[in-house]
Amino acid sequence: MDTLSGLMQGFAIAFTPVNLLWSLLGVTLGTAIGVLPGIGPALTIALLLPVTYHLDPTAAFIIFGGIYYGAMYGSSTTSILLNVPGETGSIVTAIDGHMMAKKGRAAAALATAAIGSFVAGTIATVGLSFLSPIMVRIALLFGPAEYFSLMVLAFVTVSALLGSSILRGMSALFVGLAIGLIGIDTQTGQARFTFGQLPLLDGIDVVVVAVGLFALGEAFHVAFREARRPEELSRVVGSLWMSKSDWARSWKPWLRGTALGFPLGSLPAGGTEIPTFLSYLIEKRLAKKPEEFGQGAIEAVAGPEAANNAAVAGVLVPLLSFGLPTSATAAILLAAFQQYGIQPGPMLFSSNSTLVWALIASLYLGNLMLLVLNLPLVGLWAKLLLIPRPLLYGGILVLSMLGVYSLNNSVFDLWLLLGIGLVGFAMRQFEYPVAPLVVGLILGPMAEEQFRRAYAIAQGDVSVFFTHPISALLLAIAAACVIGPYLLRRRKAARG
Amino acid sequence: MTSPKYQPGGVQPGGFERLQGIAIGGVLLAVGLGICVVTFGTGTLPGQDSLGPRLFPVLIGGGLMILGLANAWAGWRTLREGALHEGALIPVSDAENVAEPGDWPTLLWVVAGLCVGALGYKTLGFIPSAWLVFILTARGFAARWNWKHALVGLIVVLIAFFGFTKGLGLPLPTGIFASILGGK
Repeated sequence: MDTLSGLMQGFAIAFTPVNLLWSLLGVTLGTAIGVLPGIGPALTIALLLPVTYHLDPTAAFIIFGGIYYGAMYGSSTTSILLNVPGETGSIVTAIDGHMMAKKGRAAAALATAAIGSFVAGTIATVGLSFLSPIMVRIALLFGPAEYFSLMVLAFVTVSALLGSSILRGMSALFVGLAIGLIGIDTQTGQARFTFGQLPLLDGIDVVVVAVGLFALGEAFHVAFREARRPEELSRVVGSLWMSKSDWARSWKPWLRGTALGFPLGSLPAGGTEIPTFLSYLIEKRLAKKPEEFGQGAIEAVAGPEAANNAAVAGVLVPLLSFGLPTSATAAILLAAFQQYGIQPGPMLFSSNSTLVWALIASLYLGNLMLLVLNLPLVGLWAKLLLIPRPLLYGGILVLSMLGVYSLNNSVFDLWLLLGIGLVGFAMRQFEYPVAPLVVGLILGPMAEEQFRRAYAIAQGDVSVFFTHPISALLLAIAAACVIGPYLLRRRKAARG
Repeated sequence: MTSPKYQPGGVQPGGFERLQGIAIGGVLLAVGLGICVVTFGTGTLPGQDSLGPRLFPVLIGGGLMILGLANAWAGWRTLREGALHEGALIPVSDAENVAEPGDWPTLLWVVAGLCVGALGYKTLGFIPSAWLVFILTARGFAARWNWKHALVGLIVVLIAFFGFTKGLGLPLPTGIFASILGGK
């Protein structure tokens, strides 16, 4: 099936009245939960997984598409009005977005973020529609050795390039890999690290880990550090229509942000941080008034927001075509796929083409719905930020426990959730990134499977990873990602 | 330009923060070592390939041990550099950035709420245990008891219970209300 006919079929499914309603529900729930302080897209999807348990996969994925984009939109609202980015991609938006809000320009900041997200999201979804099938053809050339090396590259980039410190990123990654070891070894049926506990035989669910790290970790952090600190909420004042000058200063950053975000997000290195930071730097360099940056420049909101949303769509390319999650949110989406017995990867486009094209079509739809719904409703979403902390975190913890219990109807999972929440709290306190842990947990067992498959096919010859050209190239890039920054620092230090 | 004011400083974070790198390194080292020990204690199945299910645990355990040592080394270097500057004068503006002490009572209320919730989830049922989680969390964040929080909590818990059980068909434990609500 070619791309256009696949996409048309996807639209035909997504445009049925019931599926339109599911999409609307997805964007509304995604925005409503994503707008809550400290709740990013990964946690929003994890918390809302139980809502989709009884739906057929197509409806569930149409909801996920809506939640994915809705949560992104909600997160930027919180960054601008409260200066609390829900995920790393919104950190840059918070800098100037919140300054604009403090100066009484919250409405313009929210509008440029929303329209920029729509422009970037739509262009990037077009890119996703056409690039994914091409990537699938490349993925079909990959054997187990290449897959393993690709995963090593993803490990390295997610943990080494995206955090502030390679050591901390790698430490978090290895903790995730270690947690991923728990359970039955899929190839031999042997139980590993279960310590006689039956509930551990299936391994630790990625949803338990994500909710523990993101929801409980955040709640514990706020309780410990910020419970008595007054909140600096900015009010939404003024017209939501941007002025002529706002439009003139926004449209180029939207397009530049998209051009940066989508290709970088589509790489197996993935992530949304680098495109947003790059977009900020580029806009600052090109701006007529660079001195406004950091003080509330609209370009500094428009560009990074577009880059963020384009990268978010880009992240779906390696997820759908290779089965490779390169962000915490993509890892949760992968878990959602697996919940339905579907494995993303090159075969997905042939074995579940209806579902995958319906998902992509629902991304176009969700994006449009967000623009139509959220600009007029921004005042309503902003009211959600007024929920007092005692009620907000009380509600979040009740929902977290409910979501995790619903996975297996197991109280054991609740204790695990608490333990992982404390780990997440410690990681927040000591500034260890959590995304590498989630990616390591979900990719670790897959990497092991591919490694052992490649090893068996090569009849015990480990050199297979270095003699296959694609595999060798991927490993070389991974090594360069680790050693490169170190060498650059040494060279810089030597120059004085 | 006025010169900045100074006050005695040195190692800015106090107590545990000073030792965090070493402590985290120690924990990672212990976990890595534990993984290796448990892995070597596990027998292999007959006919299993030489790498089998033990290779990755050993690699990951070994990696954790190396990272543990690296964290401890980085922590020790920070500690030593801090000690070298102990008693030195630091700008007052920097002194304001010294980490504030954490709010342990609030944290403990929240953790206690979750423990009570997990303990009572099956026996008491979802409604009372989730309500307790809400009330104790709210008590922690508000630093006082507030009947309005309890009332809002009850409404949230009831909406969640009926929304999930009746609306989505997901079973939740009914515990002490089993005779009224059915289930168990």
